[in-house]
Amino acid sequence: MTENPAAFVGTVIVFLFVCVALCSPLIAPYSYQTIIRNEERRAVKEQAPGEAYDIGYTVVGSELFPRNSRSRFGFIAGLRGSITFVLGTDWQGRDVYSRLIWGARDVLILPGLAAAFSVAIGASIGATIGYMGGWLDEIISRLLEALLAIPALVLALVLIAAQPGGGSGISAVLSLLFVIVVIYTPIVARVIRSATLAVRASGYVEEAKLRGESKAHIVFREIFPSVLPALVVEGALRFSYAIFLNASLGFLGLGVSPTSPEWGATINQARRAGTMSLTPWATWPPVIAIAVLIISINLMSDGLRRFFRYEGHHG
Amino acid sequence: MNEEAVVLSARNVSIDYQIGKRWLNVIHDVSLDLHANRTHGLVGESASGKSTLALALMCYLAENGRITAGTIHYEGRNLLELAANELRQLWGSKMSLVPQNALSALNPSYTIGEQMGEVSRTHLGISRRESGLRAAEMLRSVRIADVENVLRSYPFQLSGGMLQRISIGMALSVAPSLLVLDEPTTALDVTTQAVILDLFRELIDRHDATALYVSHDLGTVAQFCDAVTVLYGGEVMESAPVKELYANPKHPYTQGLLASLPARANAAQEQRIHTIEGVAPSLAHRSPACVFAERCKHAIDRCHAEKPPLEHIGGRQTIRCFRWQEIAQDEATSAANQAAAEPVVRPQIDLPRKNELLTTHELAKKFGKRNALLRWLGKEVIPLHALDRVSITVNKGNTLGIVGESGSGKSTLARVLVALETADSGSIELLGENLSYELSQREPSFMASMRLIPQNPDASLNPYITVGSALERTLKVLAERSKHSENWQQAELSSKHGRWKRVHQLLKAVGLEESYRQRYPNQLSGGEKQRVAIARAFASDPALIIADEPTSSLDVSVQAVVLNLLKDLRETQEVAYIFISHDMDVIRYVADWICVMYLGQIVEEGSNEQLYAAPSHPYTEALFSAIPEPNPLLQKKRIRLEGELPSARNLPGGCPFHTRCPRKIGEICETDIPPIRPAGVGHFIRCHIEVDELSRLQSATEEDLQP
Ligand code: SF4
Ligand code: SF4
Repeated sequence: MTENPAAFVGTVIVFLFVCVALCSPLIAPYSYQTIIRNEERRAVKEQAPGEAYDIGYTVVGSELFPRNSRSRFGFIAGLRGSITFVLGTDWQGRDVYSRLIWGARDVLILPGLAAAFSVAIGASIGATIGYMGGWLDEIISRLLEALLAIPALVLALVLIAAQPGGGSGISAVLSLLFVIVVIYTPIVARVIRSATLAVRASGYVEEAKLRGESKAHIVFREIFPSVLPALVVEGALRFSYAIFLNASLGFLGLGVSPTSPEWGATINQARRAGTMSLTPWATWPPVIAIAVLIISINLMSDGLRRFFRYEGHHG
Repeated sequence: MNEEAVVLSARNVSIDYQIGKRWLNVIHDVSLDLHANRTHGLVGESASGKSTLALALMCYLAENGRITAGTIHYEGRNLLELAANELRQLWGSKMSLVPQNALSALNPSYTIGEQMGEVSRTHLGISRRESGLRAAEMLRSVRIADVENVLRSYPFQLSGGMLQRISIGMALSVAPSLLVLDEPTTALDVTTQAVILDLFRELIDRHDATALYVSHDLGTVAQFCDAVTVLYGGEVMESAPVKELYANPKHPYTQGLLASLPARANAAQEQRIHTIEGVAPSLAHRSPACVFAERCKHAIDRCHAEKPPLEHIGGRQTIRCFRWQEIAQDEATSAANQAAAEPVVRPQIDLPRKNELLTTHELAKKFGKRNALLRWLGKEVIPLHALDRVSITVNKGNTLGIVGESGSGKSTLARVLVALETADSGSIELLGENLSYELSQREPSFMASMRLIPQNPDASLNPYITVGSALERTLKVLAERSKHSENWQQAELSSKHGRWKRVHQLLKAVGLEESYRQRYPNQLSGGEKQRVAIARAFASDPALIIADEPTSSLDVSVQAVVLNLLKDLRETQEVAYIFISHDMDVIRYVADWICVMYLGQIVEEGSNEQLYAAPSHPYTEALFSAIPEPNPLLQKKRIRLEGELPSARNLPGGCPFHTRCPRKIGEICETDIPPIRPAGVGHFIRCHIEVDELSRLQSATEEDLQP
């Protein structure tokens, strides 16, 4: 990893994001839906007099907006000695920093699960058809190609539209999971199929056949280690794509719940409320966070790829 | 230009390459002269730096390479001082390269005609029409018959031999004065190679070009070059005129290299090839000693401490060795002693159909017969005939050699025997029992008694499994299955401890140390990998081992070690071999009984001696004649096979060889399947020509050749 500092940094950042997601209840000062009332702010102010800014209200549409002396809307700067409202609050008065941290869960967990399922299912399909070959391979490959021919987002919209609408909670999560898995499984399957194909005809697999090993031994002990690098790299890549797709769907209002702190959805909420230019501090953090995360995962998977290629041939 | 003029002269050239972050010194202090109108050979084993040096002499280096010392004078100018555009000018007009792999040097998305036109337009500035004519003319000059068709073809549609003709045609089309040939025939079959080399020879002579011929093959160098430079570990070991070098090698490495050729062992009727112990030096670190010191049997203390200088010893000879004079004397005395020794006689071998171990009867295999889906999609599949009624017999403890060029079906035969491919018809009998075509239906004990040594040891070892685990697993699986062999100590192998003990024995038997069990394949050299593959084949105490080109991916010096090992194991383990190779010299060295295959048929079968004496099948005859003889003083009879190997999808009727047979007698060869004619005890030839007649024809040609 020292050979490749970018990949190292990427990996560390991804790891930090995961830590944040795991510990959000510990880190986030508020829940993601707490609307911080004026009184609270005042209380904060009273605890440390003179250190918080003055807060007032302003009204946009039917909503009540906090306001401070620096801007028309309620941006509350951090108080010295206590971290409160580091990034300010959004137009509804929710702490942006807390929402960002809670959002990491929604950003990582669902795509993470989706990537894991895609890789597991895709790898099983790919390894099976790659090893078996013949008509089974012929048919399944054509099916996968048909799915791959449709752009991911379009396929997602179609699949979501085809599902019974208005789901919430668990069923919404499951349906989103299903959509992402359906989209990415074919890609993984194709990659693993070709990795398997390359090894299937290799001398050591033939040697294993000649000494009479079982199919299971051949697939798991002889082929699997060679396919593992492809699998890991593919896993990382699918993870980043799934995050992206999940955020895109969130932004389109098709995510788990339109009010979730998931970053895409957060941006969408700001857009819908027409406050992107009014409370820009509430829009930028999720945008930056998602960009940093995706770049980091890509750096990491790039590093993994090089690492494994290195392993496979020299070390 | 007079004959003696030096066209290119390199002095003390050193070249570094950057690998990762380190600079490695790959060529050290090389001096060498190319004389006008001569062909100079550059020989070396893998990693000797021969290709790097050849390209660097044209000042042609990869991005990560640099010449760190020395001068290269070409027609009076120091190439290292020329600007990039001047060099490019030279490359385009005076120096040309014929690469090893013509296919990768040609652009796959343009036709041959387009690419050739492009070259002559840019370098000679001529019109499109004119360049088209030139291209056609050039193809004719390299004796391509079907010019129009070839010009319209894309590179991938042409055979290797055809592409090599085109690339030399392109290289010569700029009328170069220096031609660099970088292993131009390595990818070709021997019979094609012979034709191409003849053509190269003729063209080089006609163009009065000076050529640098890079090769690992001492045979082609002997036949093709006027002078030779031997490289080892990036240094010149010895340079000499070709006859001098082969007749009288002075450097210990050259001596060892020549002695490790199977052809030399055959000529001297020796039972073992001489080998060079040890492995080639790694490039990671240039030692301050003689590069060859680790493997040299003449090394003294001084050799390990300092590097011998490259000495000019007159007669265009250079040598890098402290002791060459003493060694020459020693050799002279020991040669005198040896002459007094008894000549070794080959042991008597069994005739076939006695003491049979494995027999096949009319084994046949076609590929591409049964793709139901393609047929359903309406695509017609033309079957490819890989094996055509092949009957062979292997006796206990004997070696059956199977020789043939690519497309002869020899590897398919190996794969059908071990059931990696399913035969279509015919029978396979091992120890009198009929074997199933399907691997899954074979009796496990037969799998243990018939084992395969694959062609490519790189591919046959799982990169993620250590040598020891691979052997232990083989023992475990096969021990459970094999119940019939007496030597096969079941009790011992049922415990893990016992198996590891046996792993150590196996490693020792193939000359590897115990510590190798912990190594992964990528920590082994090519020769070591092949030894592991051999150990694995012997693990189950087999009765028969099928070795499919086991040494063709190895260097000559390593090949010698592996061949000797296989011979030794045959004695100690009482095993029989089917030894498959394209190399007639190797086959002659190892085999007792030989089958010659062409397009899936056995065209001749006989004992080693019978096969190498007249009469032989016209194809065998051509094959012999095509082998480059590693002795420049010996001239063979020249029989060249023109034309391309017919596609196995579209087999010629009658005798499959009739499209190229130099002895074809007429229509009967095209229409009737030739009879199998006995030509001696157990010796068979499949040809329409009577045996006596063949015998007469072949001895006649030999006489014609006498000077
Ligand atoms: S210098 Fe010494 S080690 Fe080197 S080749 Fe000569 S005798 Fe052998
Ligand atoms: S049968 Fe005819 S074509 Fe075939 S090898 Fe004999 S002479 Fe040549």
